[in-house]
Formats: sequence, C-alpha cells, structure tokens
Amino acid sequence: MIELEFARARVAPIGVGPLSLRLPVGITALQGTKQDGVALLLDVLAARVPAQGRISVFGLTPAAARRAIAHVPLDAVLPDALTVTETLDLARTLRGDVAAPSAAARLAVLGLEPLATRRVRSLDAREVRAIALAEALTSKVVRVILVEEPFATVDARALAVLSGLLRRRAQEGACIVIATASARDARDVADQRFVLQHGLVVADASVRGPTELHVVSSDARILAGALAREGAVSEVVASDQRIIVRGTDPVALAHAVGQAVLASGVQLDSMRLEPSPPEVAP
Amino acid sequence: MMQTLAQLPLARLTRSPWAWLPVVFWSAVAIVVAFAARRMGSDGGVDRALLGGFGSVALPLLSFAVVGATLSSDSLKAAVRPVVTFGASPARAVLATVLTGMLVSAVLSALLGIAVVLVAGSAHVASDLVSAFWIGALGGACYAAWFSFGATFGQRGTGRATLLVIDYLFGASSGGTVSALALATPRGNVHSLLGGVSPSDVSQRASSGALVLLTVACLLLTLRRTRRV
Repeated sequence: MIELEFARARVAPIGVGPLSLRLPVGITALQGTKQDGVALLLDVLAARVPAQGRISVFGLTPAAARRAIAHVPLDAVLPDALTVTETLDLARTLRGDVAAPSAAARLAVLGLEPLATRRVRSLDAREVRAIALAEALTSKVVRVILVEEPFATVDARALAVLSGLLRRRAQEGACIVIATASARDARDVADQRFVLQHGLVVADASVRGPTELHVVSSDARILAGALAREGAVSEVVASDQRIIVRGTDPVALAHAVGQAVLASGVQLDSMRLEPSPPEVAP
Repeated sequence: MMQTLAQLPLARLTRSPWAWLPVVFWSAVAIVVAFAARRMGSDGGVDRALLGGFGSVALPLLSFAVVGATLSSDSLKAAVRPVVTFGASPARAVLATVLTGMLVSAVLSALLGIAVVLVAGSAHVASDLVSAFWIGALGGACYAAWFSFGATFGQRGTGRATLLVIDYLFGASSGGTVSALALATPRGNVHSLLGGVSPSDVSQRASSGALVLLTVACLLLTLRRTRRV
C-alpha cells in the first residue's frame, strides 16, 4: 500500500501535487502525459526526486523501502559493462533477493534467454526495458513495481504475457503503479485509475456514480460561489477553508473546479476525489 | 556490499580496452621524459622527470582517464543509477565508485612514479623510489577524488574537464611563484612535494596534509551533491 498526503514535487518545468492518494495492493494506473506529471510521480515514489508532504510505501519512506521498489521508466538503465546474467545476479545481491530464481529462469518469463550472455551496453533501449521488467516481475522482495508505459515497446504477443505477469504479481500482494498516456491501456490492466492533469488528480476514473470532490482553498467562499455557477456541480457545501462539491461525473466535476479556480482567481491548496457516501433511508 | 557495488566501475575499467589508451599514452609520455632526462645526464634529472613529465602531465591526465573510465564518461549520478535502481543506497554506490577510481588511480600513479625514477636514474634510488611511490599514490587518489567531484556537475559530468582546467590555471607556478590558491588544487601541492615551488611557501608536510584534506573535502562534497540519484 502506498499513501500520499499533500505530496508535492517539482522538477522544472513539471510539477505534481498537492496529492492525497491511496494506492492499494493491485494495479493502479496514473493516466496522463509526461507533462501532466505521471512520470514525475513515479520518480517521487522511487525516491529519485525530493518531495514535500508525507509518502508512505508499506509504512516506510520511499528511500527506506528502496530495495522493495522496482522502477522501470521509459529510459531504464542497467549496468552497462556487465552481461545480462551478471546484471540479474547483481540485482539479486543488492536487493538481498536470495529466493529469486536463476537468471535464466528470470529471463525466460519474457522470452529473453537469447540475451543472457550479451553485454548490456550492446542492447537497445527496448531490450534494456524488457530485462528491467523481467527483474522486477520475478523478484521475491520487490513489493512495489513502478512502470512507465509498460506496453509501449512490446509486441502484441508479449503484451498478453506482460499483462498476465503484472496481474499475477498484483495477486501475490505487489502494489503495481503504471504511468500511461493511453486510456485503453489503463482501462485494460488497472484495478484503479487516476487521471492527472497539470500535476493534479482530476478524476478517479474507476469511481462510478455520485461523487464528492473535497477541495481546500484559503478563499473557500469565493471559490464556492464560482463553483455554484458550474453546470456539472449539483451541490456545493463550503465551510471555513474546505468545500465539498457534489456531482455525478468525476471528470466534469474536476473540470468545473479548474474553471472555477480560473474564473475566481483564488489559490487551490488541495483537491481529493471520493465517492459519495450512500444515501440513508429515513 | 562495497565489493558488490565496486563490481560495476571495475568492470567498466577492465572491459573497455579503449579506456586504457589514454592511461598508456600518458604513462609513455612520463617515461619518455624520464628517459630524456637520463640521456642528458645532468644533475637533478630525476627531479625534472618527476616534476615535469610525471607530476605536471601524466599524473593528472592518467587520473582523469581512470575516473572517466569508471564512470563510462558520464556524470557520477548517471554512472551509479543502474545499481541504485536495484535498491543500493546512493551514498554507498557513489562511495564505492569514487573509491574504486581513487584506488586504481593511486596504484597506477605510484607504479608510474617508481618507473620514472628507475628510468631517469638517481644517485639516491631508494629514497627517491619511496618518495615517488607515496607522492604518486597520494596525488593519484587526490586527483581521482577531485575529478569525481567534478563529475557531479554537468549533464555528462563535464565538470570533470572544468576542474582539470582549474587545476592547471590555479595550480601552476609562473616565474618561480605560485598563487595561494594553488593550495586548494592537487597540482600546487603535488608540485610542492616533488620539489617544485610551494604555494605560500608552505612546508612539504603541510602540502601532504593539504592533499589529504582536499581528498576528504572532495569526497564529502561529492556525497553531498549525490544524495539523490
């Protein structure tokens, strides 16, 4: 389980947050482009960039949980001077992954056995990513797998195999987070989907039905007034610095908040989407 | 764990034949200068060989090549990223990489120092061999730490080359004098130890202390700049 509370990070010109999210065991898709911050969010979870706020990875900070985190960005890097087999052996030692299968068996899951004796330096980017994925998927200590565009560089046959492997690791208790610009990839593979725009979660695409958007702003009353004029909003409840916005379409609701922020010129401190509590019969 | 982390920089060194080309070339330059000093047959030939071909040219450029090879001519952060990806602590990965460069540079520089003394010939072979050995080792280690710190700057670690230029500009003597800034460069102190002009007229003991301090300072600054990889 990964938890973020008011997490924010910035690597110019891209920023994310403040984000408050719970990413449970299973497959979570962060849907959006690089400019929306999905890849940056993976970097944050992998402790590659500093972040403010609280981030917990199975109860630890990302840096403390580093051995249990496998991060496979689009530009994945592996030890250039080692062979593929030596690389997997090195990964096993560094992670303390004594129960991991042999290098040959690990490569076999994605049909990469012919690369076993090749020097990493001689591989192309697609092969390097495939080996990084094989390492992540077959490790016995990795509990968090962060993958950017997992299906971007695989053919149709490997796509089904990879989906199956991701699903199996999720069933074994891993928390898998994929960053993708493809709504179809996100829908096909993920249990939970968050849509990011300009670094903020604008929709939990897996939420269905009535939705509540919890907004925090220092000028809550002004923002609430602007929100009341938005068509997608069915109800606005403002108190102190908090606003609860109700509606039925999470994407339209988030869009309405964006419009209201622009129209009113107030500062948005945080925004969290939650399904509405069920109505209680009198 | 450090041994495991040193596996990658060592593999980069030992498995890249091209990486050894500059090492062999600059060593050959030092040996040729030593040979020329012997042929001239005048007094102080070994001192000129150590100060000129070895201390001024071969030692810094050999260390520069060794550090470049351990980093695959990349920035220090990029060089350790592959092992950090597998859960290694960035600080340990950086330390293992820098220490590998320092050790290899120190050993090669010490051996080259010995070779220069033997080729140049000396009336006090034993003491000159000992001096060339420890000054070569200390200078090689300091230069490696210096260039590793440089490799924390720039997209491809281009700060390494900048520090090479700074070392030449501020560490060199001119007209028999050397600026006080030379104390903060490996070159100024190595020259002082090899019998050249001392920065601010400090003693040779102070110059060796300055080299140790400079090495430690570069290591600490390098670790500080690579807390996140």
